[in-house]
Amino acid sequence: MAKSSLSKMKRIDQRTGYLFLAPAVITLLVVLIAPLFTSLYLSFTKWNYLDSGSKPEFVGLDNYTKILSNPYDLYSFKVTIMYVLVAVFFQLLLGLGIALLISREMRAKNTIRALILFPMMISDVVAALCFRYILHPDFGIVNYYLRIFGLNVEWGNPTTAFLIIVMAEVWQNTSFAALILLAGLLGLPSERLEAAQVDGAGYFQRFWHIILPAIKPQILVVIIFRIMFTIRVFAQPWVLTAGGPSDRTSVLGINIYRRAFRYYELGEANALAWLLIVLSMALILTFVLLLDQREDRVKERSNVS
Amino acid sequence: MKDLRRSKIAELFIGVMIFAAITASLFPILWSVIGSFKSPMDIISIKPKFVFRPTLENFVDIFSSNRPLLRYLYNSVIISVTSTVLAVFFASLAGYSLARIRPRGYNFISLSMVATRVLPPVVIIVPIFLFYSNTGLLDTQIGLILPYLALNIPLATWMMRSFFIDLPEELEEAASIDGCGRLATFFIIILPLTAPGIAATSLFCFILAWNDLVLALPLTSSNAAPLPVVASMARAEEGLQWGRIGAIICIMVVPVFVFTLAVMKFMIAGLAMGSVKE
Repeated sequence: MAKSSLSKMKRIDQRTGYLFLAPAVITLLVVLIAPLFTSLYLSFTKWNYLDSGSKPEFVGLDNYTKILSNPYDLYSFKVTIMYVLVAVFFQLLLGLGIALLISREMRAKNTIRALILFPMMISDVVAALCFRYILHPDFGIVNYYLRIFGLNVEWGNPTTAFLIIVMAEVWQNTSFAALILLAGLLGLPSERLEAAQVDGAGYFQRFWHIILPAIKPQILVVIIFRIMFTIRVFAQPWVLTAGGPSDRTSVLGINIYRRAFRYYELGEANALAWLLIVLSMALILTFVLLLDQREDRVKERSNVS
Repeated sequence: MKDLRRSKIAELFIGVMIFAAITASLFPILWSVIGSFKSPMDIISIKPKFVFRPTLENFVDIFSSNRPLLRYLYNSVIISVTSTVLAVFFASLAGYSLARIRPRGYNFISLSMVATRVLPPVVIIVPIFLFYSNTGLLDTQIGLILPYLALNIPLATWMMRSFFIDLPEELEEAASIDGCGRLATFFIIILPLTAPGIAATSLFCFILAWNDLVLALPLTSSNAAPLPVVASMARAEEGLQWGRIGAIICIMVVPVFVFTLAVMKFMIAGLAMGSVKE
């Protein structure tokens, strides 16, 4: 008797559990998952959206083979990968430096942290506009001081266009790297560090042998998240360079947007979007494996010695 | 004695570095914000002007009748606030279920949710665009609220789940002994206790919606466009426009700034848990 009422309660609880999940899950299914599969389907079709009578026509892998043999698209992959690697590298490096700086006990700790971490909270559009303003060729403050040192940099020409979209991205999202690494540093066991200090380990030794291995999970999180997000980049090049000059900065995000909403080649646009997913998975997997391998090798070495 | 002096120099060095980091983080925004208070003549001065007579001209200008910025601001507010409130509400329910009730299959559901976070929004744009152009949702506020809501649910659920896990389970046991049902326990006892978590989660949901351009650009035009769309169309080549662009930047940055400072305390804890734990 008691048992059956308990199982009845459990059943009711199960129902409540699903009821609580329902709004979130249904929203995800309708607004994310359904379009996701539609996009996959469209990527195997040819469809000129502007021709109102036409319907998507199944063409198999045609869109994919076309993209992989089109130099413009291949360039767009290349520039995106370069953008991701350079930006994430500097974000990690600078983010680590900043995290080490602000992990210390100090006055006005929270305010200082909030100020340094602020750029990641603002819009990509705002970041791009701010960079356009300070890098303006005529009255930008950066060029004014560069000219004093005899440098005359033309921002946005074929060589510097890539540089400015990377700079805007690094400036804006180094703070994300710093935030995650800061969380890792704050969780470090202080006893071990103190013990190492007592044993006479210098700062660099402590950093290399204790701090760095301890925050490895956070480093991985930074790499994974930053690859995932920088690979989708759209707003910065859209506002800073509009993909130019002569498509030098036409990253995948811009390429997809143009394909879809300027040329209405919906099949190819969706095939590109799916290749973007595949590429980000591949990059993330590569880094996860690389980092794991390094750890194994370090372990092996310490076992041998 | 020598050691003391050495550590003083080290302290000073670190102080300078922290100051440099703050300057580097804030300068590009700060300079644009300062620019929004400059007159057109001061803005296009070749020599950067640090001292000038501030003016509200640019703000008056962007809000005056022939530039309907007020409407775009209104769109931004409605879209961001609505999608945030809904996302946090849905995510609290789902996060609580995953953390505490754990119905059959909860593990699979939470993993699938995390996986959807990996999807780049650009993948869903075309299907949503097609669906909207058939149903008249193109260029409407609800047309942006829906995708922002959906894109925010995975992270928000994950964050809320970790806040619920951290609450002592005895609370619910005590409540259920007192005859409180699941629903009542959740709304009366559990939800108020996670207020800091809700604040941190709201911040992340809000900034995604407030800042986004990728979805807003193709899905809206003159009617429901939010601020980022307007800002991205600024004709930046003309020097004289920069005061006005600075003013738009101000309006886009100030709410985020205030919100961030207000929940900073919970943010480090929140994000660390939401993304790193388990």
